[in-house]
Amino acid sequence: MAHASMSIEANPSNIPGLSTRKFIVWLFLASEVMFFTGLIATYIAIRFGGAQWPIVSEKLNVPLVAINTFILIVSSVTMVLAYAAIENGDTKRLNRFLVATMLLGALFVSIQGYEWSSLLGEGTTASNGLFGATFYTLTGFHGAHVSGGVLALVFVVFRSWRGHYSLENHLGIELMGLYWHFVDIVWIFLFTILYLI
Amino acid sequence: MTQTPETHAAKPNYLRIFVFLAVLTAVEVFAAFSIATPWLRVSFLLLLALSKAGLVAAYYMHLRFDKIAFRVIAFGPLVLVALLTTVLFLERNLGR
Repeated sequence: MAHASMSIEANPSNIPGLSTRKFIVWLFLASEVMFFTGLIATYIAIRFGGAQWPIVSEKLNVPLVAINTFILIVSSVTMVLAYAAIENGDTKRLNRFLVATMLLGALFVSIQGYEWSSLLGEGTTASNGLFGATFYTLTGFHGAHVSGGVLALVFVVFRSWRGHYSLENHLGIELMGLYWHFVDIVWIFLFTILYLI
Repeated sequence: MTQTPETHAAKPNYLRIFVFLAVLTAVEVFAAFSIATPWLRVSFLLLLALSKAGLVAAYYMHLRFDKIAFRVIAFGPLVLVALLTTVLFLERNLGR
């Protein structure tokens, strides 16, 4: 078992110069691309397939979600600045930007929670129509991914505080960043398709 | 865990990319409420979304500077997705 894992670690992808963990994370992200695009394609097919649809700008709080979109974009910047910091060996800035990313992610999820509770209060549920069903499915799966990312960031911040990352050893930060930016990209499309079109 | 050899030499200006993303988001919200022609509005909004996603993938995920294998892994599913979506819409239209 140990021997097997060592040989996988040594040359997992059979492509020289590729790291195992990064390769695996990219494969995971590729599967996530297909997952979310399947959901989005289904949404488009339902929405433009003749289903009754409310006027989105009247039903949803677009200004609030635009601010939330901005928050997620800022969190992507803080994440990439955390990576840039550790590439320069600056662990203080790394800690600062990681904490900022974590807090911004938590803020995004909190605002989404507020949006959901407002919609539920107005009687829009997942079971009373195709609009609610598709809206909660898409935003719910994305919100779950952001929440998972925030939990992962708690772990990464903890390791960072304990001095785990350095100039020579920071692949974990890069992989965390790949996941976080992917979640940002998914939201870029969801915001356009769910709220603006 | 050591630093990977595929990490990039060039360092993009991350804050400049952020400014582009913020401006594109503002334009997106403005366009959603100001372009009256539906096909033009939808096309323009999708173009903006693709531009934003492209900026994040190219610069924040470093695909522009990384190994070509990662670009293949990242864009490969998009081909499958295009096929899936085409089949989905063809099936829907043929079913009418």
